[in-house]
Amino acid sequence: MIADSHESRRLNYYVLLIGILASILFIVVKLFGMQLFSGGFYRRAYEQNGVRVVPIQAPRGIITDTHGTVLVKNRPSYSIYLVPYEVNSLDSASIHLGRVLNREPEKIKEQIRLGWQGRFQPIRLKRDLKFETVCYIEEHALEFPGIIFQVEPTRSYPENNFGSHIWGYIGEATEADLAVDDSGNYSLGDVIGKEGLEKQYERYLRGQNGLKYLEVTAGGRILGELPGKDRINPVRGSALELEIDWELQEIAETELAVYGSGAVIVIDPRDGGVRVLASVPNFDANLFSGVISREVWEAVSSDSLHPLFNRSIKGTYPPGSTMKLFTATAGLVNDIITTETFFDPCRGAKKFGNRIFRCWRPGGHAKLSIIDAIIQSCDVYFYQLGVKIGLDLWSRTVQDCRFGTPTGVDLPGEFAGLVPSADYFDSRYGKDGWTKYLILNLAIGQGELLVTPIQMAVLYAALGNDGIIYKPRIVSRIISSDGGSLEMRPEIVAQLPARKENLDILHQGLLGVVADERGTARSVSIAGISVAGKTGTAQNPHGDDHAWFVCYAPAEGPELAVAVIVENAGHGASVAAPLARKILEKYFEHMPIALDSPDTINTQP
Amino acid sequence: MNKTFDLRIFLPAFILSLIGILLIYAATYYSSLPEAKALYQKQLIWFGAGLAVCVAIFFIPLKIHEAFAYVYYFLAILLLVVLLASSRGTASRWFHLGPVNIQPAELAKLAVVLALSRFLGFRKTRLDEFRWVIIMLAIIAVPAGLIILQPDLGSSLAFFTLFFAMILWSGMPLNRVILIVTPVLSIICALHWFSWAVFFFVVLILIFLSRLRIWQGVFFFFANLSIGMVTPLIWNNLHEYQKMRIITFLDPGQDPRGAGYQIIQSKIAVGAGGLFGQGFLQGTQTKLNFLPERHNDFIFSVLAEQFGFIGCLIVLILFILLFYRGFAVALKARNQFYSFAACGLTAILVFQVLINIGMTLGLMPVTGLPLPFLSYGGSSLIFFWAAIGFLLAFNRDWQEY
Repeated sequence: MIADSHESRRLNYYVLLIGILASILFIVVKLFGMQLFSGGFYRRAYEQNGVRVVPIQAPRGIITDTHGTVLVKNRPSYSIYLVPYEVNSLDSASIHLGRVLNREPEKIKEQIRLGWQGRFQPIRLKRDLKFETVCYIEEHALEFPGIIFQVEPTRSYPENNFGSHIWGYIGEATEADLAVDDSGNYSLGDVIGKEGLEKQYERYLRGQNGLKYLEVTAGGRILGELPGKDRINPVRGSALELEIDWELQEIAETELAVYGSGAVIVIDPRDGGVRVLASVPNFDANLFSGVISREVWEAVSSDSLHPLFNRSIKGTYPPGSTMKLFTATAGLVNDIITTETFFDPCRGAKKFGNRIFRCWRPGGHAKLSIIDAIIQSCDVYFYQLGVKIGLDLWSRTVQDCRFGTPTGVDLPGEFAGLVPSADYFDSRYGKDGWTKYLILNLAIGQGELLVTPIQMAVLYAALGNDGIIYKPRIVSRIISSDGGSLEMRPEIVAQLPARKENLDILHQGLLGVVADERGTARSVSIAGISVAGKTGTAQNPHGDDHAWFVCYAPAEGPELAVAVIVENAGHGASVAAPLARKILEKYFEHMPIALDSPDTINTQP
Repeated sequence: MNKTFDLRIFLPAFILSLIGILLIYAATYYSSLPEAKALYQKQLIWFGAGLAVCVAIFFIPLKIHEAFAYVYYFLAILLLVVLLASSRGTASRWFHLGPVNIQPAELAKLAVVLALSRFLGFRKTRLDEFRWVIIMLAIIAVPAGLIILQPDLGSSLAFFTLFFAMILWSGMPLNRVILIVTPVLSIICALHWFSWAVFFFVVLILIFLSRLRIWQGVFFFFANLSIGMVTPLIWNNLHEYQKMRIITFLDPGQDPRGAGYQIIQSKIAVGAGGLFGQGFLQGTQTKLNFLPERHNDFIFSVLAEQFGFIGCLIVLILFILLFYRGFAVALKARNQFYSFAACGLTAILVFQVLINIGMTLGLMPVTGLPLPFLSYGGSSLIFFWAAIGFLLAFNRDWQEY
């Protein structure tokens, strides 16, 4: 019996031994695999473990005007970050931080949730903290565990808000922005251009964020930069050099602000460079640099004057009498009229069908040539011309002049305006729902015709420059941080559908508007500079009429084309024209031609 | 002395203890707490105490332990009861006696080994009667149950390993040993109907082959059947969080922020060790505090990170030498009491080494069992040095014959 038991014990002993040896062998094989044949899997995890990769935000490119004046730059500011690992209770941390950062605790928890990249990875809560807030949190460090500050560049725009519609604003990338972005370079909360040049030239302005490698303990304590691993320095964004002339821009915005709202566009007819792009009211782009607080957003977006709305490229207005030049173009180019063509004399009004259409001047203008009709802006002449041209031909020619087409300026969101055609009226009012006399209103720039201020400036520039239509350009050069530069070449997009002799006629008319004693814009004439321009009054069904003035100067070789619209200011001659004059005066005081002008005046009796 | 004092047992344990102190020093070297940095000094004192216990056991006649085995057993149970009563519902594994913390579970292990050996060594009849198995189970279940209540699942598992090793050592036929553990296996296999069906078929064959008495066969049949039916019912009625707890216990990778975090960090440390390791006091897993419990349960990760595959192999070889000598003593022992005690002590040693290293490598659940001789902890070190003392003494008595 005992022998039997011993026999069986021996067998069991071997079973036990085999089990133990197999287990040890298994452990050795596993160790061997993990330590020698894991293909760097553990090595990589190991190297990442104690390292926190912190992005270094690249400063965005600066923006300068055509003379090199710095308009938009960066300044250092404090950003506040939270390291979740070091926070015991996110609830109480959110309440404490909410109090200091003026934000609801729920909002802060939401930020933490959205920004979560692991419990050791810092989450940015707010940019551009006030220095007092930084001091307060530092002094009460015990109440704010897991908070770190980082100095980051923040956008700095001119204090006077001028130019805000040129560069627009930046903001933090939202989930929607990330969905659109296909570069994969953005993460939530990164700075991204939202409007204006900041948006249009985002990929140049942005630069490349750098990285630094910090050595951290499991507890999240930062020991310093990781030895032997160099930081990757950020690459500053490319600088934009604009065609904008800041002196003129300042005059335009200062003057516009007097009247409340409007837009000014100044373009160099020789190459399409945009010297001024003003839209008033403007806004403080600095407010948008970080997270926009709800109060600011509500104040700005509920303002009845819509300060975020860029009137210069998105505002669509009836062009008023400034359109008469293009009705004239349609007449001349289609050989419907010549300088010898005379219509029925203007007696202050004329009956078409069974309706009476009035001229702006109740006393009438008598019998006029096309040139005189432009100078005196006679409505009755253009009614008759319009009827003669007919809607189809008129709208085709005006479309050929590129009304109803965006100019292609390098800003996002430009509007096209509207050139009504027979098809348009058909679809709007039904096949027989409108009369042919709608052309009367269109011919004098009223009715459903809509143009943007920048279209007006571009096309008047073309009138002064042999009919060549340039694409307006705000940016002249992109200068990368390594010194390389990219010239934005002038680009001809089209030619006005007008022959040289047609343009000469229009030119004479426009000169007369300013220079002739019967002209509507005599107030613009500047000693020594010949200005060719046209006033306009856009009828506004919602309130007072908008005042237009569009011109180019010097007439014999234009360097500037100016389009001014002042909302609700009544007649173009009294408000818009003097504003344009101030810009011209400023521009020509520096020009050689201005120095010559005393001579010119003296030699002319 | 060299005939009666077996250096092949003493030296591996001695070297392992020194390595342990070195690793504790390395594990706490970068700690910011001064008391953590001093742990290796405390371990040095425990090491001295362990050696003293070892020598004392070696020189006290074995007859006394044989005679007092049951007394030790009841004293150990008393200690466990007092601990449980004094902790009043809060988790506690230690008695705090001034600067010294004593873990009664370690004392209980020793007492249970002696009591079981005494019981098995002095039995008059063969153990094919399941009555004896039930008495053995009772001897183990009382202290194990008290330890589970602490709660300390890991330590109590060591007791059931002891049970398994002891019935194997008693010479019970293998098919019966397996049959005895079938109800436990039944729980695991019952999680899927197919695995359980196969398992139950095997159980039927075992019952048939084991030539049991009718009532014994009926007992195993119904025990397995009922466990197989009830387990899925219980599992499906558990709350989701309860299931998650069980799942993460068995597979910590499922919970990378909680229990899995330790395992992931431990595996990273082991994997980063390579062939020769990062070097003594080097390696960022330890330095930057990523390894949890690194002077204690995860000391093997520190070894692997700093000394690599070679270091691990050396330690494993030292353990294998001890295992081998332990079972050799058990095989040659002069009487059954010595034989069972040597086997039981060695089995606990083997169990803890395998479980702890397996846990470090992510092969086993996190049980909180220390690595013998290496992990920080006085009670554990003293227990294993007491075991060495007994093995040395058993060996000497056999030599003296």
